[in-house]
Amino acid sequence: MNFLAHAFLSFDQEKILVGNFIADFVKGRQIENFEEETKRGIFLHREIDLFTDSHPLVKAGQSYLRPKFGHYSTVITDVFFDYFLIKNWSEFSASTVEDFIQKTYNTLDRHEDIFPERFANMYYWMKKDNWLLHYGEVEGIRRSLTGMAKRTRFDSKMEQAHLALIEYEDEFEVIFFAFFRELETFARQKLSELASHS
Amino acid sequence: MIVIKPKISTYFSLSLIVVALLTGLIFILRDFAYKGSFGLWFYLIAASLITLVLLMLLVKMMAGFRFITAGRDQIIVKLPLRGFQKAYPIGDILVWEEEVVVANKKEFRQMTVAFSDQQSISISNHEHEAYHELVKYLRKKAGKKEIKNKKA
Repeated sequence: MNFLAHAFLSFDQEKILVGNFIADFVKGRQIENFEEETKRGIFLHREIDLFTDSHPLVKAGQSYLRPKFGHYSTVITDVFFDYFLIKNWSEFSASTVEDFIQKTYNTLDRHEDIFPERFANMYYWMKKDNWLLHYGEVEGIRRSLTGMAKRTRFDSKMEQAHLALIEYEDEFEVIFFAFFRELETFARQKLSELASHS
Repeated sequence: MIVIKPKISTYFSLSLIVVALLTGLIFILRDFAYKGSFGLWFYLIAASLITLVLLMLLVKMMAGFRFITAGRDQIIVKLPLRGFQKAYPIGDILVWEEEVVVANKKEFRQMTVAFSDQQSISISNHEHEAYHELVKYLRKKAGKKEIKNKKA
């Protein structure tokens, strides 16, 4: 999943949110440098991504993208899900998406000192350009995927993936609604499992 | 009032394919459980493939399952599967466009309407009834908001 979904699936738990955000930038034994609750956020992030990548409905969605974007389809669907999360925010939260995003930035700011360096560099731009909110617009999706395309070693064609969102918006929205509720239940359950094991 | 609803004939054909695929999947899984007539790889590949196609078909059917009523200067969108219903005044249309694709000498038309609250709807001439009436209605009521650029 992408950043906004990970923030939402941290269920307003401060250090879980931090761990959930930095997880992709924490490699190997570096995890031992973090305190227990942040570690749980990192583990939760990995469980969420594993659940998403192996879900049949997500795979069905990726079938629309695979002919053109190959294995980058997984990245693209993650970004698309953030788009639908913002688009249908009122169905998932009582607060506004703007308030939620601001709260997320405020929380992350309080823990800047533990950010891995690569994440800190990226977070600066994320906050400055308000990536989280812009995932709710096709133009924001285009910019985000174009940025990712520039960083890939091969020609991913991700800069054109927003066109697939426009073309298959209804299909992806059906998939999002069917999948995201299940993911929310899974993440909640996994988080309490992680808490009980520590 | 113009009522756009899913074409029964399209949904009937798709349902037949879904039933056929489901029967095939059940047959394969039963054969795997009780007989094992084929190698393991056959079951793994066939079952995954059929499940994927089945899901794609169901997603396609669910995505198109929408009812749109146009008239009295408003468009009412009803998505029964999501329990969503909303009436948009014509002024709430941001833009709309019709895309025409010719394939196998058949013309497929798809129209997308984007509303000011970031919601959008897409309907096509081969999946929905009264498609052409809605296009005419929009040309009359919101002609200035049409994007005319796609013809493939």
